[in-house]
Amino acid sequence: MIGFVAVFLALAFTAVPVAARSIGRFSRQETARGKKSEACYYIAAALIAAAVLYLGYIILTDQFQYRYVYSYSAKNLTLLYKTAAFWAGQEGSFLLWVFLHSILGLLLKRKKNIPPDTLAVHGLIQIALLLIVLIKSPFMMFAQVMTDGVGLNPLLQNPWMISHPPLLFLGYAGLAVPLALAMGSLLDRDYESWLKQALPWSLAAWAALGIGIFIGGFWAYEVLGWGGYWAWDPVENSSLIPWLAAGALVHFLLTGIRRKMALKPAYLATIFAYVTVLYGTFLTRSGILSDFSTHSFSNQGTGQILALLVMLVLLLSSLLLIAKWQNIPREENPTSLQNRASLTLIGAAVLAGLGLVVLLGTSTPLITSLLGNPQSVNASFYNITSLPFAAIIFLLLSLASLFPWKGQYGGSLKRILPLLPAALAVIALGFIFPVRGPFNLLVLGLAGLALAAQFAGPEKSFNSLDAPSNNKTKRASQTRTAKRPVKRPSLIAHIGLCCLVTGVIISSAADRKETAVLTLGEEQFMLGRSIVYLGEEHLIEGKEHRYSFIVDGASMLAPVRMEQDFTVYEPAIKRGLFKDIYLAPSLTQDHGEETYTLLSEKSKLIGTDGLELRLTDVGMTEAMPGSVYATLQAILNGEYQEVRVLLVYMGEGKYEPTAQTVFDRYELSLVAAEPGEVLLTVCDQKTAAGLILVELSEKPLINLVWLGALMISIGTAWAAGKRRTSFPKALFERKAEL
Amino acid sequence: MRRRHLIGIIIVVLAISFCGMALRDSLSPYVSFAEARESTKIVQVKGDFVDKKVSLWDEGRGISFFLEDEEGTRVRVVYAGAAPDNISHATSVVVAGQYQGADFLAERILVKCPSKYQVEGDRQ
Repeated sequence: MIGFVAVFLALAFTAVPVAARSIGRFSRQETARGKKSEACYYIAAALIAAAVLYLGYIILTDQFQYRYVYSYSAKNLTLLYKTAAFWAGQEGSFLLWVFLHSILGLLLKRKKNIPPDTLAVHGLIQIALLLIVLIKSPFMMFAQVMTDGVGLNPLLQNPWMISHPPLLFLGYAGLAVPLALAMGSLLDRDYESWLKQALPWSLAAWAALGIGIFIGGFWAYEVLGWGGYWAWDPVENSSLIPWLAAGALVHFLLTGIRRKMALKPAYLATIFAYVTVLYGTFLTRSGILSDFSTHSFSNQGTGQILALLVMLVLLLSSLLLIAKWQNIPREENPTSLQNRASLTLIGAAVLAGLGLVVLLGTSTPLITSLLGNPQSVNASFYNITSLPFAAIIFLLLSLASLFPWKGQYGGSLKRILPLLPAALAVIALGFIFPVRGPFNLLVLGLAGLALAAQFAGPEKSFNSLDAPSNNKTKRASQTRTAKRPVKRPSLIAHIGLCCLVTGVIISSAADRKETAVLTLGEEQFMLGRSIVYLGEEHLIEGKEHRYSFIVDGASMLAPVRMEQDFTVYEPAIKRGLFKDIYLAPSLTQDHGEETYTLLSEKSKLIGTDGLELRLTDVGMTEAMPGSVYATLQAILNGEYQEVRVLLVYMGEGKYEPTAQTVFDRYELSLVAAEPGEVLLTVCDQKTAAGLILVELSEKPLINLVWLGALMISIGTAWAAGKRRTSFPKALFERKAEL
Repeated sequence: MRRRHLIGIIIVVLAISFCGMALRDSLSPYVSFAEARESTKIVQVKGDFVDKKVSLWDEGRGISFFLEDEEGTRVRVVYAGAAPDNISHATSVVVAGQYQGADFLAERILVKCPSKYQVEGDRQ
């Protein structure tokens, strides 16, 4: 009750200032009361925080009468996973989201000089999110008392579960701020100053999303044994699209601060980024894609309201933008393509375009279902289409490093020639591993070019229209570049992007894998490597085991966790600087292959490896009333054994078989018996004991992927921090310079 | 300016048609096993994982299991790779691939685990 009331009151308290602001607008008077009512945002945020605390409290104190706690937590969970249970389900996730949204709202409220309607727009979105939390409340209760919960899905019981979802939700929540600022600026008719205000928020949201995505990829590779870090799964895509959109947004903002030509794209990007956040949430939470994804999620009734929310945000923001479209300042002077602003603009558009393509691919199940014949796209669609986009981005990155921000590049494009060895080096690197295919190699080359261009730095930053190029000015401008504080984060991020894409292409195009069944203790060869399966070690009996292997003389251990009916296999990874050896066990057989056999006194059975079985006698045992026995003759390789199998009557119509083993290999047990006829299971232990199906793969240069991801994370996060503290000063300095 | 716009439009049109072609090539429809047999492209079949038993296929080249589609056709699915986690607990499985002889050769397997970890909505 407490949580529900808190959320409801938060909704009311958010509605007050939003309504006051709207009324103030329509009656065209800035009322002091309207200003005062903004204090309600604090109350709303406090109420949401109370709801969050309450949910945390009921999870930690095992109050299983709450359905959410019952569904995602359990008594025996550790504190860590009880914390993670908070966002393991849809209801808790939305509460977390709206909590982060409200906190960011408060931070936004403290900023001076933001467009006056910004908070109202932000509050309006908060109302919508709160509505979802009300409809999908984590505070629903059972009528009866529950003693224990279902527990957290074992797949999610991983330390990464603590950081991965909250970071994504922080990114989602963060992207509402640029949208609010953009809409606020449209209402305020000040179309330029919002860009500077939106930049740090966009950077922070972009960084949070990116780090969250990278953690997810690392998690999938390291723990889940999905064989890779990225599978173009709809759930993955639904966070990738906003990330690409946020990347476009950041670059549009950066350009828009300097050049008016990026203003309209910046507006569009704020809408695109936030609408894709909501749309991705809609796709993955509505259950529409449940047949298309490895992630499990089901329709829990949020589909319609999320769809409505997507439509509303898209419609309202687009209408507002269209209404003001003509008033947005446009570029007066003709623009040369040979400057960095133009290239940044194009690059951002390409990023957004890639976002659109991924969006299209992810939406195909939805679109084709509406057309009547559900279809989905293979991962190949994304792999094929993303290559040209990457190629263009690297080309732009390489050229942009030559060009000045403003004016026109005066020099020759031949200046790029000294960078070509780097391109060839990366192509050669790829070729060694061996990456084949002209498009892959082309993109590798361009990545190398862009990488070298980052280090080369701009030929000269400014004034290139008039100053002839000579070494002295070049050096001077380079030292100036090095000193410029905001440059370094972007440098790191761009180098990271080159590393990431190089790593992705090489590790996926040169990925080799082989599947085989290993027999306990026998040496086998996979991918030219010697591999021996040593068996299963029991760390905690019936709960935590691990499979032990020796690959090329070195031990590799693959953990496996058992949670009642659930088994979670983890891969064994042998890390190398240039190559990871990735061993993923998937299926063990320790029960052997069972065959059912109907055996009568007249017939005989020929089993595996020439086992012969005859039924000699069936009857009721005298010692145990109601129990049945069968006497069997077993012949293998001329040897003869006789066994008696029993079906013991346990009372109340129940029977228990007792198994007998012949020749130390075949386990025989009686299933049913009639006079002169029995049904047997024959279990061949040899086919079974100590067999394991494994997939061995080599992941060349996977470390470049992690390095690139790390650099992008550092670069974007650092830029966000820098822009927050030192941005206005740095910008004005540069404006003066221009 | 005019010429530049034209070039821009041409590039965008080229990009769209490229993506359109890629999309057309990689679309795989949801069909039944009977329809899959007729098809020459990669298709997806959703089926019930009836006997919940996964066996080794072709001496460990991969795995095989039986699926029953909505029309009740029972087909052996073979997959050259390791079994996805918890396939033995799956109720329904989506396989993408094509027929190879009498078997359906899957390129990709999607496992749907209903498991106890998802509480049904009507359990109040």
